[in-house]
Amino acid sequence: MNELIEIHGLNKTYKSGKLENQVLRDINLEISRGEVVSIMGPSGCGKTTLLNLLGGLDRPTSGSIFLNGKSLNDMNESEMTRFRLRNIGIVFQFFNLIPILTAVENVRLPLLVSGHDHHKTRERPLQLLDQFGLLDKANRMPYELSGGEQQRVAVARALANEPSIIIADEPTGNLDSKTSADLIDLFNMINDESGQTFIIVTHDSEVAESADKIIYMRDGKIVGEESRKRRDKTVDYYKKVEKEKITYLLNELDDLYISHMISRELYEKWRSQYLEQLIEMAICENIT
Amino acid sequence: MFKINKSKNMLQDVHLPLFMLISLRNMKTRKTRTSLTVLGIVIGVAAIVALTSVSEGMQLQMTGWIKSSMGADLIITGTNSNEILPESRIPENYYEVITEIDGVSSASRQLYGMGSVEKVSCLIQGVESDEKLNQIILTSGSLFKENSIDEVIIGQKLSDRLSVGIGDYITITSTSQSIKYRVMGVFQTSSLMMDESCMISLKAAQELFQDPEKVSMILVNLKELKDAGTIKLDIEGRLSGVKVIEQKQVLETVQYGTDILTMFLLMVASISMLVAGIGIMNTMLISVVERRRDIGIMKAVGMSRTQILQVFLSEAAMLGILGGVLGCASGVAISKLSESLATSIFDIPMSVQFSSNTIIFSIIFALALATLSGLYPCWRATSLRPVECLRYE
Repeated sequence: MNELIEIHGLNKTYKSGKLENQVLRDINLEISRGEVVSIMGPSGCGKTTLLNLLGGLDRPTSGSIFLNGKSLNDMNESEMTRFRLRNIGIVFQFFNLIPILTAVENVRLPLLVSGHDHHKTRERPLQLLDQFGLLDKANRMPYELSGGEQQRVAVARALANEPSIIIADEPTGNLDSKTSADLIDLFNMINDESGQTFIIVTHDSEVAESADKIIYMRDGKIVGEESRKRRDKTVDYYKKVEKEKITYLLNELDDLYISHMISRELYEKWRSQYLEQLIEMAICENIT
Repeated sequence: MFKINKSKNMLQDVHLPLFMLISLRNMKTRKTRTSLTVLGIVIGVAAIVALTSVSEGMQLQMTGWIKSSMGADLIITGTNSNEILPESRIPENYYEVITEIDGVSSASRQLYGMGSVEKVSCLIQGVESDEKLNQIILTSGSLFKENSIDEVIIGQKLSDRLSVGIGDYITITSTSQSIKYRVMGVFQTSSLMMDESCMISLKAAQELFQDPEKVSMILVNLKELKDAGTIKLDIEGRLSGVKVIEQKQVLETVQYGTDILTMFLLMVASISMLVAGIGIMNTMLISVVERRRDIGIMKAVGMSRTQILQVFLSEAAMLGILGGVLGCASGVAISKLSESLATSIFDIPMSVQFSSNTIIFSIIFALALATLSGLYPCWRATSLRPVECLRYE
């Protein structure tokens, strides 16, 4: 079993009185170790429910989920809690820090719960907060932090026990676009460094774009799956240089023509060639 | 480069169990509600401590009074008499019969009656020898002479009330006549009732009540207290129309009465404790509902049900202990205050008695009550699935 997460025939139905609401219909999904996966879809399509089931926060109506080769269905509530403590880190849309604990205490909580020795529970949270640029705010209460800072503390908390899977439910839903971009960079950085698997539910197409795989959901079903090479920053750089070069050449061409160094015929021919190249690049960018 | 605050940060600096830290922090954050809950427990515990110590004090006082007023191992009275104040009288010559019995070390005769002194009604005691007088303390003057018929000593309170002193004359009126006596001394006892009484010689009393050769009771002291039972039977066999009372018996009767009182007071205290218990349960319910989201987070982070229960139960227990200790302190204060108020303003002799048992019991009771009241809401909250907790906004 090479896959980290395997989901077979997953169904989830919520009952309220006589009304039954089938939120998930026959979901089958495989996610490999170290992948960054984002789940997209309109509100109410069941993406949060899928995530809750993956995190063991809720139970499926039928179907099975295997994490690390272990079936979540076979675990009782307390085994599930212990499993979650060691293997799954959760990041929520509303940060969900414990309001009466400081930033560092929030990060320390999962370490204390899992019974690490005193030394480790002291060092690790500070180290994580340092890594996320929050060391100077370690002793602040959550309400003294901005949204982006709170979310970074929440990510640090999710990472404290070095889980193999991080699930994030609309992690940027309450953040502005700059802070969102920073958070996604943070996710990618962690993924690059320690190869943790990320599953991110999001509305935001920019967030989804950064993933290795995008899963599209609608009405409780997976309607599309798109594997992609994550945008390489070096490619971006060369494209930018190319564009600048063409723009520069276009300007040079204008100068040559104005100073009568080249004929009108030649000028128009080269100019149309350069413009074609630019349009081609623009179209490429729009697609990606 | 990075400066970490040497801080108030409890999780960092103190090596306390996690659950205690969270609950301490929570109590600190919600000061108003915490103090109101503690107040509820304080009232309950204070009520128990105050009421118990008052009733225990009362019990001690009653038994002390009986012992001092009886001052004898056996009392012989008429058959119609009740155990505290004899009503029917017996022939004086029974005295000779009793003193002849083996095992009796001494006996003395007393005649009681109600009379009035300057329109203040009070108890008139005719006493024989100084044996009875041993139970009093003369604050001024001297005793009346044996067999004198016109001398009296009066209790301190009566003396204050009538504003009479040594050398003054008072007139005592019985149902049959009025006689004038000269005040020889003023005395004090441990009981208020006695402090408002007059003492004259037995002979004077027989004359005042027009009842010669009769006495209300004969007090008997024994050589050996363990013979009380057999001597009692002996006396009952020799004399007719008498009742022999052992001191022990009287004490038991009084004890029974005060026990009933104690039970009643404890019932009142229990009601206030019950109210406090409902208060705690209410607080815990609100606290749990308010923190349902926190519970969801704790579960999501990986805290087990037991660990979350520990957080809430340690909070309840801390409320209980705090309330218990403060309650005991205010209970002691309240009963001390009412003691001094009762004696100084209302002239009621009252003394309170604290026992370590009451204090320990109250604190343990408060602790148990708080923990038990917290148990149900916590158990209910932690049985939810994490999503159900987190769904609430």
